[in-house]
Amino acid sequence: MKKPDIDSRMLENFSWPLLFSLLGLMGAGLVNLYSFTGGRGIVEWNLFSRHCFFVLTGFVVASASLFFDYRILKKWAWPLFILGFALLILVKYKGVVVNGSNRWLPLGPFGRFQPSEPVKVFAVIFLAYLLSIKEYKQGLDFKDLLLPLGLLLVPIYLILKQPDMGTAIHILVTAGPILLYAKLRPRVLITFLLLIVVVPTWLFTFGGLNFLLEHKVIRPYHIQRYEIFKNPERDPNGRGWQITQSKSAIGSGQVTGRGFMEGSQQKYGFLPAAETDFAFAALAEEWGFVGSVMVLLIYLALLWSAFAVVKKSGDKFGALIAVGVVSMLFTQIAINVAMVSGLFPVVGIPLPLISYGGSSTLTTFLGLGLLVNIGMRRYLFQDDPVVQNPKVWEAEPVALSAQTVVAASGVSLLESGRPHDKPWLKHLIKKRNWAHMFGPDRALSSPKKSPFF
Amino acid sequence: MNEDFYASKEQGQEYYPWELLFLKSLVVCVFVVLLLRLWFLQIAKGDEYLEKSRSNHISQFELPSVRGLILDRENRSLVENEVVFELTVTPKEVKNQDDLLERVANLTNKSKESLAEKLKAFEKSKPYSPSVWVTGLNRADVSRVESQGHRLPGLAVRANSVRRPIQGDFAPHLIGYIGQISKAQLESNDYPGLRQGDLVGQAGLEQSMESFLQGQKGSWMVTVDSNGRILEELQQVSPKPGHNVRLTIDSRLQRVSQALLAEQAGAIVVMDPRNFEILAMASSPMFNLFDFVGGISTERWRALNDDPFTPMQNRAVGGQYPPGSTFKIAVALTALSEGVVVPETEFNCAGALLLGNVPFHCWLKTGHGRINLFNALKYSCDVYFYELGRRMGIERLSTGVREYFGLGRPLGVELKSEQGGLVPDPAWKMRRFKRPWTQGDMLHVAIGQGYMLSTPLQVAQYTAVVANGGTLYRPHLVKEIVDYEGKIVYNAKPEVINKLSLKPEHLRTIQKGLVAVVNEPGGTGRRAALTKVKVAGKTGTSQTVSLDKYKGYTSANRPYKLRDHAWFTAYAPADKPEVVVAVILEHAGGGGTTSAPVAAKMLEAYFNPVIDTNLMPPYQAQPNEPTGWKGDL
Repeated sequence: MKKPDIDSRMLENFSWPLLFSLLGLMGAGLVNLYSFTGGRGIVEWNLFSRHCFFVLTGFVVASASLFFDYRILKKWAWPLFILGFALLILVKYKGVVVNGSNRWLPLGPFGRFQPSEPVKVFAVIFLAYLLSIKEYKQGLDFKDLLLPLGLLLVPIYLILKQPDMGTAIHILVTAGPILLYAKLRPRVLITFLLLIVVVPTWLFTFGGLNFLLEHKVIRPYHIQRYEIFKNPERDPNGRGWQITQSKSAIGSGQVTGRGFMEGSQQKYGFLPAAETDFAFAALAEEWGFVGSVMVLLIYLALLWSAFAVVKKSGDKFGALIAVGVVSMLFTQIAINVAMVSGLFPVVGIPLPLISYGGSSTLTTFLGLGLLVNIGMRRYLFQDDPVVQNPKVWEAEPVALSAQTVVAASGVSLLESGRPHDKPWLKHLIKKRNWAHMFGPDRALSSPKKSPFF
Repeated sequence: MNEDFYASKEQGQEYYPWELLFLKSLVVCVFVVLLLRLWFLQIAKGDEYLEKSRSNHISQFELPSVRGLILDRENRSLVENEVVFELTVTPKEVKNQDDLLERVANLTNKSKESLAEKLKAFEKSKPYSPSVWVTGLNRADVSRVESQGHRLPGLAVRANSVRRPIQGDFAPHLIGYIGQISKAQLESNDYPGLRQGDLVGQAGLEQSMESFLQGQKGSWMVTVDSNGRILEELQQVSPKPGHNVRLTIDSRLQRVSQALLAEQAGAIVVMDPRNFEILAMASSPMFNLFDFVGGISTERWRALNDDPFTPMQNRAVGGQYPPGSTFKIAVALTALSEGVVVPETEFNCAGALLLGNVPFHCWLKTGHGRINLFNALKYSCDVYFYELGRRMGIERLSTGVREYFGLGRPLGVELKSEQGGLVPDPAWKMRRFKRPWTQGDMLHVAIGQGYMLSTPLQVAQYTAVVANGGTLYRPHLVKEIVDYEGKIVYNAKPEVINKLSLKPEHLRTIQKGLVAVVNEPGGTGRRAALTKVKVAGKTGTSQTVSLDKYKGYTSANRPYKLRDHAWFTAYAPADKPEVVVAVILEHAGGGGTTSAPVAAKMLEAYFNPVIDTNLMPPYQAQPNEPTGWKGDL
């Protein structure tokens, strides 16, 4: 392993919007979890402090990982994939069974660890690696996909058998945009699109569910969950309870929410899994439409700054990993929020950075660390990064405007005085060029022509 | 590096593959959908979900009110709200389950297995809130549980009240019973604020006095968590106890009247003629109020309803019979006040009155000869009253008795079972039978037969009007209503319905006639005479069937259902009346022989407070199988 090298250009290419979004979401998650534990008394204080520990660890690990060039992962792609496979096998034989599924490895005083979470990142790296070692001039053909997808199906199958349909689907869906971004041949693309249309039609209208049930790919409780998703009111006290209560929690937040620590659905235990999968419902109850929309906008900002990294990344490996991380986060956010608001059947997928859970939090940080890492090192592929690319995030007005909204509301919440009384806030609001705070403003210098283009 | 990856990239131009654009649009679309969904849930439907969420964690408990008591005129309670104790258990608070089961099983003599089974069920359904574990504990059990309370966490004792009569066979028709509110009752607007499962009076005074007895429910609003554990109290409204209803009923007289009806279907009404307070009202056969405590069983209910003697019927106000010769009192008074006759008017009784060539017989086949009103009452001469009725006409008679004595309609005694009887007239007959009125109908009505129907209470009414000199009050059972603080809510004042202006000599003639019925040789009611008090009265024997088929039989030889009803109505003391007694014994034969002695005993009990049921034969719930049964029709 080579010595970590730090270059001043790395700092220039550091994605500050991504960091701020991340910090915002971490804060929201901690506040939400504090409300959850605060309402229940000191006994469950443990949960909050543990989450703090996870977040902190995740943050430190992700920060530390920035010192290493992500390209060394090319060497690590196979070993990581095999590590993930080994962990999943270990779960199969040494795992802890909770609620009838075998997903966790016991970790002594740290509780338990869910290997399928880091496997998501491993799978992204692995897929990015396999698709970037070769050049495909005309795009990927079926035979090129055979090996990557075949290998990917191994962990997916193992996870499906735990059983953990949520994570299995999550990995499968995450792979989609990676393949898409690696360029597919038109016929492959058309085949995939057809599959996306045909498979759900077969599943939900032509008895595909029963076929899968007979062949034990899915379990009766999956069908049941699907039925409940369609008609939660039919069984409001039994299995439809979760979704009915979750909708009540979100709806009762109305515009401004019921207030911090005042959400009765969450406080009195009517909202199931209010600290994990249904954390967003608890947040929406206490902070209302304003709060939940703000959190969604921060997520959007995060994704947007991640897209910037994708777009600007210097090599295909990095670009594909970045797409994979974006896809992983986006799928998770979309499925979770749709699930708690009753738009999607209940599958156990946590909301990144808001839901409580060590494995999931660490995985999210790993992914985000990779993103920042890729974004920072794009100068390696440029002759003059300043000219070619003034600032990674500056090309992304949406991300910036979302940041401005958040910052502005922060000002209005924090102080009623004039903004220019507080210079640091003035910067946040007025200066689009935040890097200016961290170094000489090179974006203003005159562009140089590159000798290579 | 992969040069082709950036092949399309030219200087100054951004590399913007369509795939990226697609992914970005996908993200935006999904976020828009999610935002719209949040807008729908939180803003469009926010109020609805807030309500749902509120009803989740706010529970309202009802605090039952204590039902008011029903008291007799001496303020002795006739019903009680018996306190029963229940043992409740909160499963999650139980520390040592085996120990608890052992102790509770010992304390309550229940099997350990059944207790454990119940506890297990509670643990599943409501782990954090108390559930009723053992019911029907008495005070001794309770004190034993409480003495060990510190060793039995999770256990609590709760009091509950059960409506219970003091005596099951005391005036069941008057007191009535309570039961679950019916659907029809809920839909009517008579029971505001009540819900399904609430108990309301379903018969007797419990039913008619419901609005006073009920009281006002309280409520207790608390917040609970999803386990049903009570977290804090939000609001408490104390319940208001119901009012106590004090009756005009004299318990001793009531007991005596019931005892006198033993083994005999019939009714007795004892009333004060000065203000129409009902002192006793018995109807036989009776039912037992204890059957209704905590809900009557279906078999018992069916048995009561299928009983041919209809024990559930309150015959005293709901039984409608031809009043027979007792009606002659009303006819005579009406005729005098209408000026049809004067006391000195005499008619000739030849044993029958010929209408065309149909003879209308007097009960005395040989006839009474020339007879005046006084003697007609004394001997109960039918022909005299036929003649009286013929001269008066049905219109004058029917309007007269309706107006003066309140016949033909319920006067509003506080019982829903009250019936109005029937005073027939030509218009009624046309409506009912589509046939014109005949002179024969008229003659039957004049002696209280035919279509004429009245309840024992109505017979007591016209007797009382004669006794008090012509005033008709509203008969009543409720003397006063007192709220739980002792404030009088309602105090019954005699309510005059009609005041008859009579010449004193007219009234005196009738009163003397009634005295003669009891006291003079040849009077029909001699068996009602008392030694120390002068009694005035009138017998009555009302036929239940025309006699053609049973011409050869006396009443006692006919099938039970076809025998005559025996009436006797009396007041005493004759010169300063204090009490009216009306007696009917169903299918008992002649009034003078069977009912008069009963009335005498009733009057004797009124004047001699020593007499009580301990001197009388025990009450028997059903009349014996009638003797002399000749088979069915």
